[in-house]
Amino acid sequence: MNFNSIEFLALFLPITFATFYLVPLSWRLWVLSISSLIFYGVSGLEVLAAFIIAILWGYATAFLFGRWPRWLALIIAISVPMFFLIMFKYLNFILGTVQAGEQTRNYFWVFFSILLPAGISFYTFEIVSYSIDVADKKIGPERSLIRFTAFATFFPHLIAGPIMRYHDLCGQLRALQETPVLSPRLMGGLKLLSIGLFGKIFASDVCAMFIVRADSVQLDQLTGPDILTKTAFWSMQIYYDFWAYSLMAIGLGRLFCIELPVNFRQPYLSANPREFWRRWHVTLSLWLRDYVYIKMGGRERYVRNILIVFAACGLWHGAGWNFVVWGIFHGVMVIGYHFTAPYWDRLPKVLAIAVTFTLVSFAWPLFFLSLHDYAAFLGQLGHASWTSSVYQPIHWAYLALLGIVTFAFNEEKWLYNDPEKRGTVMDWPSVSALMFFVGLMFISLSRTFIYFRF
Amino acid sequence: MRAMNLTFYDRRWLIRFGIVLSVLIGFAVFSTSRLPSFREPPFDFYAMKNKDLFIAHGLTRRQEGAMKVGFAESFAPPEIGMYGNHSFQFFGADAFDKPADPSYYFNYWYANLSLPEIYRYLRHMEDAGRLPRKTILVQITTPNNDNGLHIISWGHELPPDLLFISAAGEGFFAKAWRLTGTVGVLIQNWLHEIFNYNTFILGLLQQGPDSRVIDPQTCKSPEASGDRPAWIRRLPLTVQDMFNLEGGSLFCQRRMWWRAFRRDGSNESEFADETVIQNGNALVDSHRALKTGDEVKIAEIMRAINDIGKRHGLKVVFIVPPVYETDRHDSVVNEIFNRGVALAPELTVIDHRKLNTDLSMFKRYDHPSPKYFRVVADELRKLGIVQ
Repeated sequence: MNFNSIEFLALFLPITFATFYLVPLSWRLWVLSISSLIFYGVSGLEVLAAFIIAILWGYATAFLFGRWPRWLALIIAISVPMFFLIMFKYLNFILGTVQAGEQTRNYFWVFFSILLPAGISFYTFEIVSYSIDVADKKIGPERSLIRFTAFATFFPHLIAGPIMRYHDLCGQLRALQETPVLSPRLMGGLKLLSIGLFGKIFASDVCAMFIVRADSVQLDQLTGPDILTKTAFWSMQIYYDFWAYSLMAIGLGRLFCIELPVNFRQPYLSANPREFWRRWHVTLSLWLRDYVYIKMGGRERYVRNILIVFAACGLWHGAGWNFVVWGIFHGVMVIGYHFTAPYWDRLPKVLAIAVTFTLVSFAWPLFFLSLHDYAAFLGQLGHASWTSSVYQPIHWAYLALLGIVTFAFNEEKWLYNDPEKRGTVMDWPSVSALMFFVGLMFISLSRTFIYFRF
Repeated sequence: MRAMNLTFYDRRWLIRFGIVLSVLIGFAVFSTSRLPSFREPPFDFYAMKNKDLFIAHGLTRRQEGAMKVGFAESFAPPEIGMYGNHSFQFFGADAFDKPADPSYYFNYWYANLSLPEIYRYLRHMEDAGRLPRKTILVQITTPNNDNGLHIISWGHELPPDLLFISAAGEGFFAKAWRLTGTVGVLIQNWLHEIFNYNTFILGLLQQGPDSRVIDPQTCKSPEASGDRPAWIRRLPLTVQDMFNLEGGSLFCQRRMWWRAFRRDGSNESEFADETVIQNGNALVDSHRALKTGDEVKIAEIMRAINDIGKRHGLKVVFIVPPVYETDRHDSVVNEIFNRGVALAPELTVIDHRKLNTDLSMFKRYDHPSPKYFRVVADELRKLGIVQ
C-alpha cells in the first residue's frame, strides 16, 4: 500500500488510528502489528509470508547468542533475511552477471515469479542490525514477540525507512504498552503528513511529468539545455520524493506516539560530499558506517573501505551495475573530498554548495538509466545544440521555484519549528487541511515513491 | 478518546483542522453528487441522426457506461446486441454495411466488462424484457491482452444494482464472499470519484446529455477558424475547455470527438488518435489473472450466458479478437482459456487470436480496426447468423 493512495489515507489510516486509541493498552502493539502486516500484505501473500518468516527468524535466532559460538549464531541469524534479500532482489542481477542460461534460470522460477517485495532492503537491514547488536551485546534479545514484530513491521517506516535500530524504538514501544493515556503530537503529525502529501504530488510528481516530456523525444534530438533541464528535474524529483516520504513517515509515527528520526536534513545544502551523506538518508549512512565501515576497520584502510561501503550503498539501492557505479561515484567524491578538504573547505559556502549539488545531480540519472544509456545521455551534451527543443520558460520557472524552496528556506524554522513559540503560516490548521485536501484531490496523478522499490 | 491526552493548543488546532477538512470534503461530496447520472432520465440514441455524434469527452467512465444501461433499459432493443469492453468500441453497424440504426444493431460496450459482468448485464436486460431480438454477440477479452485479466475477473464498473445480481446456482457463502468484495470495491470506487479533481470540477460544471449531440458535417469548429487569440492557445486545454475560451460550440472541436458515440453505441475510429505498437504485456506469472482450474469457471460462465439466449430463442456468439503482438499462442493464459472453451464445445465461438500479426486489423494493439469488424461480420454471415 502506498502512503499516497486514497485507500491508505481515507480507509487504512483512519481505521488504524481509531482502533489504536480505542483498544485496551495491552492490545495497542497488536493493532499496530496486524495493521502493518495488512498494509504490507496488500502487495501479495507470498511477500508477506517471506516477511513474516524473516521476522520470526530474527526473533528466534537472537536467543542463540550466548549459547552457540558468536560467529555461528550470527551467520544463522542473518542467513534467512539475507537469503530472501539476495533471492528476491539480486538473483536476476547475479545470473545476468555470470551469464547464466535459461535452464539455470528455470531452477529459480519461484523467485522470478514474485515481484520484488517492497521495502525488502529496509526491513532486512533492520532485522540484521538487531541480530548484530545482540551479538555485540549492545542489547539483549527481545523476549516479547509482539514488541519485536511491532518494531519490524511499524508501517510508517516499513517500506522506505528510516532504518531503525531496535534500541531506538523498543523504549517507545514499551511506553505504548505501559502508558494508559498517550499524548500524541497530532498537530505536528498532521502538519508533516499534509505537507509531505502535497510535496509529493506538486513537487516530485510534477517533476516526473516534466521528465516524461523529454522521454517522448529521441535522445539525439535533445539539446544541451534539454539534457541539463532533465538532469535538474531528476535531481528535484528524487529529492522531493524522499523528502515527502520522510515527512509523511515522521508525521504518521507521531500520530501513534512514535518519534521517528529525521532521515533527511536538507541534503542539497551540503557544502561537500561527506556532509551530503550526513544529510541524505541519514539512517542508511549510519547503518553502513556502524555495520560495514567500522567492522572493516574504519579509517585504517580508508580508501578501500569507503569504496566498498559506497559500492554496497549503490547495490543496496538497486540490483544493477548502474547502481554500483552510482555508489562508487559517490565513494570517489567522498575520497576526493577527504584528500582535498583543506582546499575545498576554503571555497565560499555558496560555491561549495553549488559544486556539491552539481556533482550529486549528475549522478542521479544513474538511478533511472542503464550505464550505456547514461553514457549516451551525458555524451549528448557534447553534440547537442544550445537551443531547447523540449523545455520552455515555464519549466525553468518551475525549477527556479523549487530551487528557492530547496535552498532559501531553513526547514528548522517552518517545518520542525515549535508552533507554540515560533509559529508560521505553515502551522495554521487551515493550511494543513487545505494541503491535505488538495493532495487527496490530485492523488490520481501521483506515482509510487521511488524509494519504495528499494 | 479516553486513551489520548491533548494539550489545549493541540486540541484547538485539531478542531480547526477537522472543521476545515470536513467542509472541503463535504464540498467534494456535494460536487460529485451533482454529476448527472446519464442513466435516469435515459438518453435516447434513436433520437440521433445517422451521422450524429454524442460527445463523451469529459464524462466519467461510470457515466459513459450508465448512459448505455439507461438506454438499454428504456428503449426498444436491437436485432443484434454486442456486449463487451473497449476492445470492441469501433464495432459499428457499418461492419454489416448498414447505417447506424439502433433497431438493427447496438454496441453496448462498457469499460473493462468481463464475462461474469456481461452475464449480469444480460440478466438485468432479461428481467427488463430488453434482450436483443435475434442475436447476442459477446466479446471476450483476449487472454494475452492483459495476461488473463477481464475474462472472469471483475472490473466492478457496472452500476451497483447490476453487480449485485446473483448467478444461477451460486451458493450462500460464495455469494456472501462476492458481495462483501463487491461492497469493498464500490466503496473504493466511490472514494476515488470523490477525491478526484476531475469529478470535482465536472460536478460543478457538467450539464445533461442533450447539449452533447452534434452533427460533424455542420458543426463549426473554432479550431478551424484560426482566429483564436494567441494567449488563449497557450493556456492548458483543461482551462480552455473549462471556460470555453475558444468560443463557438465547445463540442465542435475535433479533438473532443475521440470516443464520441455514434447512433449505434460504437465509436468512430476515424477520430481516434491511436497508433499501433505491439502488446507490451510481459505475461509474467506473478501478474497472471488466470490460474489452472479457471477453465471450469470460464466454461460455466459462457454456458450461463448462452443459457440466457437459449431461454429466449436467441443465438449467442462469443468472439475472441486478436491483439497485435508476436506469436505467443502457447502462453499460459491462452492455454487455460483454450481448455475452458474446449469444455463447452456446444457454444459458438469465433476465435481470431491468430490474426495477431496483421497490422491492418488494428487501430491500437488491443483495439481492432473497422476492417477487422468486417471480417467478423463476414464470419457471422457464413454462420447464417446475420444476413
